[in-house]
Amino acid sequence: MGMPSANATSETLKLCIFDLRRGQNEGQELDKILFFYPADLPFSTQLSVIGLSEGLITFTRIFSPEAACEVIEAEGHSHVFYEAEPDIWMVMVVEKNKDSEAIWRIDGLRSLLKELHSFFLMFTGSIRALLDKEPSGGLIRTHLYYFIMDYLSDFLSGKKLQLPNFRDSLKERGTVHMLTIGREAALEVQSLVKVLELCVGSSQCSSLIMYQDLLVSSTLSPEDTVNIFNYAVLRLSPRALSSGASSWSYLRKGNTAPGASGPMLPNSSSVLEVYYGSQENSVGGHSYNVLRPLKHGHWSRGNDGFLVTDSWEAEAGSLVHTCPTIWLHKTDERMYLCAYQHRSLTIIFLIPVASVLNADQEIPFVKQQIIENVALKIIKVEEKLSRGWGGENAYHVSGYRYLLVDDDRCISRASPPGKVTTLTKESLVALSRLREEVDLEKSRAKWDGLGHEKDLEVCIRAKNNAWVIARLTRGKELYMVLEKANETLLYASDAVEKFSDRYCNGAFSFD
Amino acid sequence: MQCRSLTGFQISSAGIIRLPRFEVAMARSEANSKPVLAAEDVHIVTVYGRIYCLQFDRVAMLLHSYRFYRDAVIQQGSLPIYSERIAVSIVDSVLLVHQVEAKVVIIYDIFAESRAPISAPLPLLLRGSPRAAYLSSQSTGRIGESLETTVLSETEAVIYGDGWTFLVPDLICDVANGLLWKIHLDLEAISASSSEVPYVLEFLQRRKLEANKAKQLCLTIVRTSILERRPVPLVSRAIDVLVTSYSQSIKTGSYYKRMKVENTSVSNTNNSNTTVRDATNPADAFGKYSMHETMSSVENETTNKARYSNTADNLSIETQKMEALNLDPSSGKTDGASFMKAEASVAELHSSSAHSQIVGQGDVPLNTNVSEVQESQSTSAAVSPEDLYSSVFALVEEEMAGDASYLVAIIVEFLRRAYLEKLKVLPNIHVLTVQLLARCERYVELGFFIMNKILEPSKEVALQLLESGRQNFQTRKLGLDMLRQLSLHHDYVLLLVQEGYYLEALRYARKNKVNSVRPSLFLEAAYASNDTQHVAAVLRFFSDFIPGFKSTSDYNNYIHILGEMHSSAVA
Repeated sequence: MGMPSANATSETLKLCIFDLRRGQNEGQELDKILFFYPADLPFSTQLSVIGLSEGLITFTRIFSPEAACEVIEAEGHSHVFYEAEPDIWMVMVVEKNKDSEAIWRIDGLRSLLKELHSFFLMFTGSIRALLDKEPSGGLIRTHLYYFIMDYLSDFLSGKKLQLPNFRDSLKERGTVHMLTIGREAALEVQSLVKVLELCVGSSQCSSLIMYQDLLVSSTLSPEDTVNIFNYAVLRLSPRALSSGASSWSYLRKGNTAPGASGPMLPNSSSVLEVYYGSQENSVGGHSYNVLRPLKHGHWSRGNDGFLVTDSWEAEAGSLVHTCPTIWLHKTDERMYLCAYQHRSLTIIFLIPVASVLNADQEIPFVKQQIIENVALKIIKVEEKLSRGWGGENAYHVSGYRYLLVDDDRCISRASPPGKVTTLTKESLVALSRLREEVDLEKSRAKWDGLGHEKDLEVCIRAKNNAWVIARLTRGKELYMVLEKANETLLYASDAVEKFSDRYCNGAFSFD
Repeated sequence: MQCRSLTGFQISSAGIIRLPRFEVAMARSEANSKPVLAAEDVHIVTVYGRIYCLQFDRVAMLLHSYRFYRDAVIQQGSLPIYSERIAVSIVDSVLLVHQVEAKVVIIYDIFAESRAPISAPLPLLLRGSPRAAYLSSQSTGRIGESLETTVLSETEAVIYGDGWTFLVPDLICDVANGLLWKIHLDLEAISASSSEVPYVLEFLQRRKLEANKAKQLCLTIVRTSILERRPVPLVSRAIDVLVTSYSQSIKTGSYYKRMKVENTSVSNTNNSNTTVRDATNPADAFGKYSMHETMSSVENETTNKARYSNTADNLSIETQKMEALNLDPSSGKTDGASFMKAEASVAELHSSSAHSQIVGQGDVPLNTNVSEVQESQSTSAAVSPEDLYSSVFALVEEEMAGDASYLVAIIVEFLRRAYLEKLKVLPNIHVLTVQLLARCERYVELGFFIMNKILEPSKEVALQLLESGRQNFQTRKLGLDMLRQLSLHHDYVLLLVQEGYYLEALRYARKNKVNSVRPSLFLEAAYASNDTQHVAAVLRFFSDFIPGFKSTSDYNNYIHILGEMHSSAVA
């Protein structure tokens, strides 16, 4: 099991998923492991990580049955816990190192676990359901293995996994980025949405429109919008399709090559066989058709403007192009996913599987309808949006480095990454720590606040004389770093006020 | 001898002006035969204030049209003809080409470039027994039965009988029966006979004679299309037509004129001739040319000798004629009066001196009273956004309950169009949209609508958001935010308190100097949160910022309550 590339990363990151309902008898402990990264670690090590986690969960549940352990901060490592589904836990272990880049914000790491799990739910359904489908665990292990490895490949920087650290403090995972448009464009877009809906002909059809890597409109619930939006940014947007081009979105690392999943999956069959070998020999790792929606380079734009993929073909085992399907989080409904792209505009629409009797005929028919009836409108909207588009630095506000989050709608907006890099490490570390505090306050408020949202205001003068500011009000959050600013608190407060009035409709103007 | 060239004359106060000579086109049946232009093949008509000469080419079976300009006469295109004998009428600027042999009328609305008929060929209907003192023949879609039952049996009137003489613009003289008919457009029937909703609406929007009826018809048509769930692009185009037309009428000012007319009470006093220029007809340089038809001496027993001069403002004429004609038939039938054959002597152009004169024999001039003239002239069929709301959206709303998304799609199209035309849309349409979206629980879309200002911020919308957001916290928040953005400080503070955000409300109240909200509300809210510190803080706030607060009953009450809270906390 020689995996040099995996060895290099094994020092810094461990990621495991286990099921507390399995393997509770002595000798069957391996049964509870559903996923472990790096896979080539000896079972004794794997079991010791999981054993520690399980012990802490059991212990903390005595005091807090609803929300057990969230994090263990050891001297050298942080263990981040996330209960993805009842009794199914995801635990991430990262090494801490103050001198290097290894300064983490726990919620930032947890949001990665959340995102990973919601992607999995969206494409495959719940882990528990797959376990119930095949109690031996072979199916879920195979799925998780490919899925997570594909997901992690996006974080591969060189040969190392680069997880979101303090440098990503002005980013919020699990949110969408909106394109700000004027009323005229908004009316055009809305008109397009409605025409699209009527064209597809099903009242339950949903749609999502993106301009480049920004969301323009969505008729889905915020959670589903976030999932599909982020998937689209990763794999469907024009940038994602023309892989290799650098992206300015936080979701994509510019240096990710499409073939990056190669080193991540060295000899997967042998890895998986270990588990099967320990279970039943009859279950072969190759008999599963594994869905790999996150695999790079499997989407492309067809001549008719629709995006096609072969990722879903394995599932059906047929040669015809099957239409991808996903599960909606809110309604637990299975939907066909179709994506149409015209230049910078990506239009994704979802059709309930239940409403389609014969997908092989109806989906192409719907596509044809769209090409015939909506394509012209799409071109118009694209032109209109392109005219109003201010470029990558459109949302840069000079003098400010900011992050604006709307929790209700799962929307965030931030200074462009190119501008954030101009900040010093001290400022970013200070911001990371401030956010950590705010996260703590927020989770505390969640437990005793009875839905009452907290108002909060913190201004910190960092060692390098930068102002690091956080403001929370009624579900909205604003984080800000002001370097080279005046030294008075009044100045900092005024700066926030000005920003709030100009860019947030005065939402953060307190007094 | 072939005569092909014509010369027009304009008779103006400055004298007679000779207009450029022009030649008519005539096809030849054979190489050597030269077709002859007969007098009855040439008609002069006024359409939308423009003057045309229509010439029937019997060989080619085409009706050529030539438009008169001051310095030129230009051929404008041709209409196909399906009958050896034709007649031409103009009603309310609509061109009716009677295909006499086929006994049908083809209706054209020569406004834009299009030369397509408005509807399929329609027959004439004789409506109203001549005895009933009301003469009108109608072009309509559903003719047959009534024709047989009512008209033919009673009179011997035959449609397109040999005795019919067509008088420009819209009269038919039935010499055989001693009747004078006036052609009247049945807008309802015409619109029912065409399925092209947008074209029908365009046609209706241009009607001036029965503008109000046309307007009601337009609204009905749109309403019906929505109720029938016609495709959104079609309904959207229909609404486009109405909005564009309204916007134009706003620009030219005719809409406001109508409002004015509607507001003035209708007086019945006779008045001297007044001509109000029709503002929707852009007074192009040639608009003042008009046609003088000597429909000379229509005599009957009362021997009304009417002399019509048709001004460019053909509308005023229409109504005046109506008056005149209403007199005619009343006596006309009984004695089988002899109608002199009216000869439409053609094509003398004279400048309308903005006087339409009707010379009656008696000393009562056949004038319409002023208010009627005004109404008929300045009324336009334009449909304002308010009309659309009250007569379409608000009415269909209930019936569309199950399919709000369709209606929202249409409202979006309407808003889009209204935005392009820079029309102001009243908040009630926005409020309705909020209701519709909330009813089908499309809160996400509602959020986008508000965020992108598709629904313009207003107090009404904000309150509706608060109302619709009872089930949806985020929507309530949108409403609150909107109140704040509109600087409706009082409402914002009040609602913040009601939501339980009394500390934020206090802060906001102090910043924006809101002192209209009773302190007791804040104190109650603080008390409800069961936090002594907060109650104390709120008390302190009012003591500090409201002079004399310490002497109010609120203060004493809550000081007392605070004491109790403390003691119970200690206990």
